[in-house]
Amino acid sequence: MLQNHKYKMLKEMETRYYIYSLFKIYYQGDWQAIDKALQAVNDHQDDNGQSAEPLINGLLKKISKINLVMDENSIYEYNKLFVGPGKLLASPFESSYRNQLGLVMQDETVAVRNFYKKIGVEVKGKNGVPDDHLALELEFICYLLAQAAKQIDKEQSASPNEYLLLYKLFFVQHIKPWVYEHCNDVLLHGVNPFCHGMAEIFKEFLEGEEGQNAM
Amino acid sequence: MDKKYAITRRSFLRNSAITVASIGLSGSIYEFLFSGLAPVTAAKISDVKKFLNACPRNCYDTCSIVSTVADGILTKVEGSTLSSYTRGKLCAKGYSYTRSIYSPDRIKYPMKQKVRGSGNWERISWDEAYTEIAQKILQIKKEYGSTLPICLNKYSGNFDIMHYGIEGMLTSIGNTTRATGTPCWPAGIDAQTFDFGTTYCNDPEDIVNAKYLIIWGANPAWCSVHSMYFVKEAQKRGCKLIVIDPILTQTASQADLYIQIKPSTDGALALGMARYILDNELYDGEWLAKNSKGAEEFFSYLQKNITVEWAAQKTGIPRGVIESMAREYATTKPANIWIGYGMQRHTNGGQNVRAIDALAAITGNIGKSGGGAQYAQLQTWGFAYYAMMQKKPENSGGKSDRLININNFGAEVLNANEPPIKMMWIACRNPISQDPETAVVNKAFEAMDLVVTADMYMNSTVEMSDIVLPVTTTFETPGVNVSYWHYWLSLNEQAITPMYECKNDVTIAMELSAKLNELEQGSCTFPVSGDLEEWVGKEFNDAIYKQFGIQDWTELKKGPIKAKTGLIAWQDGKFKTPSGKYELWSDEAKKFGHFPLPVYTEELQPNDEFPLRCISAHWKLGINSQFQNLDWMAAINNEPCLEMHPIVANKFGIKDKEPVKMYNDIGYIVLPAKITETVSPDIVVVYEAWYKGKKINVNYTVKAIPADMGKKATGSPGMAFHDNFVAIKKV
Repeated sequence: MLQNHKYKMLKEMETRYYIYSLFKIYYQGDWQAIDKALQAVNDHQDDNGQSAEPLINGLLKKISKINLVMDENSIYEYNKLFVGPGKLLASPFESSYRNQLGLVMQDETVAVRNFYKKIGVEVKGKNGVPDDHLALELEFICYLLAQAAKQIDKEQSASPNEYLLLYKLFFVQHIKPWVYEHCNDVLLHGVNPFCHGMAEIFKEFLEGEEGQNAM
Repeated sequence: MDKKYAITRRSFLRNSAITVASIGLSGSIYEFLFSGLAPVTAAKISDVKKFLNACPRNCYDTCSIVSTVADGILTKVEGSTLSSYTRGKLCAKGYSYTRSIYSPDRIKYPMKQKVRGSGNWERISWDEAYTEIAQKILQIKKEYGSTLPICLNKYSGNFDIMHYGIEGMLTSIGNTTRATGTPCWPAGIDAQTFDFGTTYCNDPEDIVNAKYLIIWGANPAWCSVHSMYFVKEAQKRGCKLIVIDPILTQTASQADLYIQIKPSTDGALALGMARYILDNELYDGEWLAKNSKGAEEFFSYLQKNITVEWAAQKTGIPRGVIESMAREYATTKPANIWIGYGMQRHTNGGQNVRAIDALAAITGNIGKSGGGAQYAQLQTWGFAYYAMMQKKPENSGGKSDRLININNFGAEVLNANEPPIKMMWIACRNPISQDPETAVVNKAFEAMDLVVTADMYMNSTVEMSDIVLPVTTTFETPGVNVSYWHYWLSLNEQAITPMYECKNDVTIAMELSAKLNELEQGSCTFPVSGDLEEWVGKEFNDAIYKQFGIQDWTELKKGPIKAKTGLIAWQDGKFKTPSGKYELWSDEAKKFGHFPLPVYTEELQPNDEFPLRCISAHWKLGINSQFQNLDWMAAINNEPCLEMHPIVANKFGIKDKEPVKMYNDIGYIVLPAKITETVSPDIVVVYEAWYKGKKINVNYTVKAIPADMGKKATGSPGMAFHDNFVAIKKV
């Protein structure tokens, strides 16, 4: 019974991990990797069968269809939203939303940097890109989930460990306060089905995470 | 699916929102792979360091800056206390640098626009950018037999000496077309060149020694805030301050006497004053006899052609005011005139500056502490220009560079032929925003095969580019700066790592050179490697060392240094004119088609159709199209307005803040009215600035009318920006 619980917990974590990975790669902007990430989610879905969480099942179905609407215009819109060269319509930086002046590399960025540092990680090419870019924050969550899973896997019983607590803490401190607003900006400015769809799915997923984990 | 992959796999790969060399998949939950993050390799102590920087903008003040960097992040900028000009303070623009660097809207990566002006950009790698640019350069050279179809438009967005490497890069590919001249100050420079031999002013810190100061057509309270300390200090010491301007500026508000002059009649005022000085024998005959050429002819001209009454009618200034000012100016020694750049942006601007110079000369106020006809100085600019001085490749075609007028850029690009211009490289400039006749400039851009712009921010020129290259800010790259006003030399240290994929212009030149040579050996002479700090060192020469009393440029790492000599212009009486004297009569002026004496040239007049003169003066929170796009500036004012006198507003039935259409025969803009008595009733004012995301640009109405002078010293005549006649109506 305990083993079943552990298996189920790890499977659910793995599903989350793949979804976070997908969005991490999306915000990194590497389409080849996105393709693989989408495939990984689909493979995981086939392998996993029905998730115990209806929300996740719904999301997985939506995700499996999302790459069908990707086209050239998605790239242009993606750049208008997240990259430039013009004013970003949905900045991917936490500090853009939380800093009073909307600037990057301010106290809000340093807070994220310090969070990473406590866990022993830092941004490659430090100071070349703000630490609070969403892709980096999502990678950090993936790292926490991976560490949590590794620990659970080693133990007899499945119980929340410090990495899951850190995940919750990071979510509360650095995802929840701005990513919904960011997604809303994408939904407001985005007309392309791909970018729009990704924002919808991401927001729905985060809401699910927040509810599921009482964050 | 095939179509999707053909487009998206390739494009999206280049689209990476953050710099990650190799991302791969994240791995499974049990085999996590880092991509943008990495384990901390060693415990690093977060340190706080100070760096020396310099503001490279096109501004009188060229501030010496001290920047504070904590854990690699620029946290604070402040004025250097080691410079007695900067005096530990910056202007609002300077203090906004932390915002400029860390705005999320900076251009971060090389990007390519699918259709020029479409706004559809895809990210490309630097190598792809260099390859496309290099291939185009080589294709043009092959097709036209030279690189003359490639046009450089670069000017004052960054006056750091290293940035002249952009000119060097173009030189290194062969003969090219160059936008030549300056939009800012050429008429005045030529005027001073005819009079003195070059433009050269006293150290502005010497203003404190003036007993009488006329600020004529300048607004330092907005545009040279550090100079105001010296102006105020002079006033404290008993100096009387006069401000002459069509606009009651913030500087004027601090004057002992403000004179609202009719625009473009400054020469009439100066000549009227000169006539009064002559009639009352208040001139310095001794100085003139020793130092000048043509005094007799000038006095004869005054006696035959000029009266104070005429000057009063021309300028709108009462005769008594002109007379008392002339008497005070001639009898209070030393007396200083600060000649602004605004007043020479007319079709008679150069002659007006010559007339004002003449006032200083006939009263013997030249070469003296506290005196002078202060316009600018180029004495501290004698660098080696190592980055700029490149050799042209052998057999690259064409006889020499082709020069076109920067002040009529759009039309001259379109009119160029044999060969036509097919490619533009834009750096340190925003011509679509700042040049006259915006619609024509747009057409010139539309006619190109390739437009490459290197910039920090999206602006109206980047919008019309095919490839945009992200460039570093002052704080991300080393350099060296001097002023065209004060006499300080400031090193600019690299304080922080370049953000994203931004690069210095010289680095871009080196890497493009490598690509050109890879594609065609010998096609570019620009060095392909080098440490940027070493490049900075190579900009120095013995003359600069001697002028600043240093043995090596690295001494500047201790702080900015002021020139040791030459702080009082023309103190030795050795003028750089052909005669070696101050030339009231200038044969050199005659050679360039001007009357040899400082005479009055009639100002342009409004007409019934376009009855108002629009003055597009500089705005306090921006420099040309820079700074106004930043959050701080936008928070204070994010909308231009049309300033008009209540008499004008009443005449056209316009109320404050109502939308007004300002138009002439080439274009129009619509903007809200601001009714104010600070502008004279014969003008309207729109401050020239580019507002992010707004299409309002006063240059839609500005014709490319040349000023009278500028050709000799700068290669092209100046721009009569303030001879813009318009009509207005309520929308």
